Amino acid sequence: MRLSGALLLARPASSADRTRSLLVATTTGVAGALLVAAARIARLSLDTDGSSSGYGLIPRTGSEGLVPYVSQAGLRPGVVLGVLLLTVPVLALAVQALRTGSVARDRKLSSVRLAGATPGEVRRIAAVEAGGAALLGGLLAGPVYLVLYVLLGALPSAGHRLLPSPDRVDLLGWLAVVVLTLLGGLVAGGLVARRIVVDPLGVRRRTRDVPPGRVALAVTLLSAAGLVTGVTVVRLGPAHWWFPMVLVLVSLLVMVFAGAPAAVAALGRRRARSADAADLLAGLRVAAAPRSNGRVAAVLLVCGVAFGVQAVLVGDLLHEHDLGEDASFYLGGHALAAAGVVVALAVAVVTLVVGMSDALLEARRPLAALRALGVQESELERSLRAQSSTGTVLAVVLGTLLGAVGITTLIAGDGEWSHEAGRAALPVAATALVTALLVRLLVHGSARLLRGALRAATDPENLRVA
Amino acid sequence: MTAPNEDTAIELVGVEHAYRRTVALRGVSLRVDAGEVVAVTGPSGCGKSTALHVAAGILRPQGGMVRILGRDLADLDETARTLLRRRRVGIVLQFGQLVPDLTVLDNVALPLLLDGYDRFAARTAARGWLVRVGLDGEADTPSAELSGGQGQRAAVARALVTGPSVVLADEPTGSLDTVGGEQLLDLLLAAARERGAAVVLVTHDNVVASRADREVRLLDGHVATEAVLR
Repeated sequence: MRLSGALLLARPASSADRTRSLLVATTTGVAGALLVAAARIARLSLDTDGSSSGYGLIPRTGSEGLVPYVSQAGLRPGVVLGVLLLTVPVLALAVQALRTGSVARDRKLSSVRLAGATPGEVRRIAAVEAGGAALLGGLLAGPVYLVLYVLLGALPSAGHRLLPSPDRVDLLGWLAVVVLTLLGGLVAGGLVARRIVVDPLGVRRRTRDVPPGRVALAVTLLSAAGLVTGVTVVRLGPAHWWFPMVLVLVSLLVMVFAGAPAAVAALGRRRARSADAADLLAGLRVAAAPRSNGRVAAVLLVCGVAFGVQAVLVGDLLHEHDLGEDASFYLGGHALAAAGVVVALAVAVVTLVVGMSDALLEARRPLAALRALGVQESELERSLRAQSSTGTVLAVVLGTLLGAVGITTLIAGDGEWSHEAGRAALPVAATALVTALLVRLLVHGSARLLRGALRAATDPENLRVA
Repeated sequence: MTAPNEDTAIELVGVEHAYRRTVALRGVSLRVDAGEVVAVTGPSGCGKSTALHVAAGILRPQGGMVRILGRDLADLDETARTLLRRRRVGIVLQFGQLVPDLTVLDNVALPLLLDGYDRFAARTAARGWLVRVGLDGEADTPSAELSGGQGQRAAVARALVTGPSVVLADEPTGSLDTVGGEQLLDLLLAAARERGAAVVLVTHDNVVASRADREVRLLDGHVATEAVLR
């Protein structure tokens, strides 16, 4: 197959395909802009006098007037790392979007196979499709960076700019991002296409969501033990020991990600005992396939931990110290970190919804059968909402409390725990409430995006699907 | 290495296939010679379509042997089987299964495009077939906008554009009225006979079956009767 043939077949034609490509382009564009920003901030360290060269595209100097995290060389690597880490959830969403199928896409791929395309050619078509969307994203990265610069750089008053002025070297960075995103899109598209088996009679998905077993339970218990051990050693050991802190963080992550699917499955089983039909359906689906919800609940719990830690630290800052001019430094830093966590949280929720649209595609025959049996579409939509929200609010609230308790235990001196906890109670409660509302809003808002996919899945035509 | 003997277009020997616990084929044997038209008939669920999918190499049987143009399909991997199908076998399914967002012309040209032809050459060949099936006026129409009969005619053109040695058709007239079905069958059989291609017609329609040289009747996954019609 020539490239022209692959381009012809990779062209997104249905509205679902166009949405998918747009999502990939947008997310890679944002990730690309973050990469350009990270490179730009890192490059400040190369300037001998800390200021930008005089040939900036936008006539502003480099580190003058920047927030201290960026202008101070010692803090800059942390900011660069933070910006790079922020690309991870955004790229995860791009991959999730690539994984999403649609009825129209499945039909198209199986028709192409029937016309004689080999499995390798189908993967090449998928790679070109993803590469095209990612290339568009790479091209968007430059303009997105400029928008970010205006929003985070030029608009705030002097002394608060986050991003340095773009200059000509950034054009090279942008070019590198375009090449990287194109290559990344081609590779990711080809790899994601391996997840499905396309034959001339239809498309099957390789993934099988099985309930978590004993291994997951053992890993959860072991990591819980690691967490308790780590916290104890941090409390009792010498202050300069870094290993227990790493143990605490790693154990927490492993425990949460290994244990979340089982916890979500249990919540699903509980929901399935409901007398309400929508809740019953949602509960059964979650209990049968808890991994997707479980992964998102784990991310939300980790976000909650970050919020809980911040709530205690901010409460402590405001209570204990007279910050004076340093207020913007400390509180600004917390605000930035919180913004990063909110982005990760929003991406996790959207990822869940994107994943659910794929699940709808897989379940289109039974869904069409339910519709044919007389179940209202509104009922199915309510059930979908219940399914997507299972475990999410609980995870973020639990995470907030866990983070608050954890950090209080770590920072409180002997006999000061109850005093510290009492002081943190109000900010932690407020944070838990706000994050719970935010997640609920995000989940319900995102679930509305599934209406089209649900309508397509319940189409009586799907009763013919094997 | 000797070239495979292509006098026998298709050979199924003791083919077994089941979908989980539902047995579809129980030791089916069938031989179709080059230039022969064979109708595979039988009631719904008797295994007709499964037999055709196995003969096309789309399904791998769980037992027995399948040969297309002298090549044992068990010796070929998925890519090799697809390439054999693309170059030597034309397939028509009941609902056409065209790529919905491509034009009729590009759909018919698709097997050639996949085989590395440049677009102009592929489209020129496809246009010739569209004239033969009476769809030259619809060349630039998206295939999703075609009627059932037009879609089937386009599917026949797509199946024949590569000049196949074997044509496999699963209920090709199933979604058409009597007159439309007759016309489609005339076209398919005339084109196949011109090339000396073997044709397997899966059908439950006795009128369609009567156009074949031989009828093989399946019942509960095995060959119940065979009759030479001409």
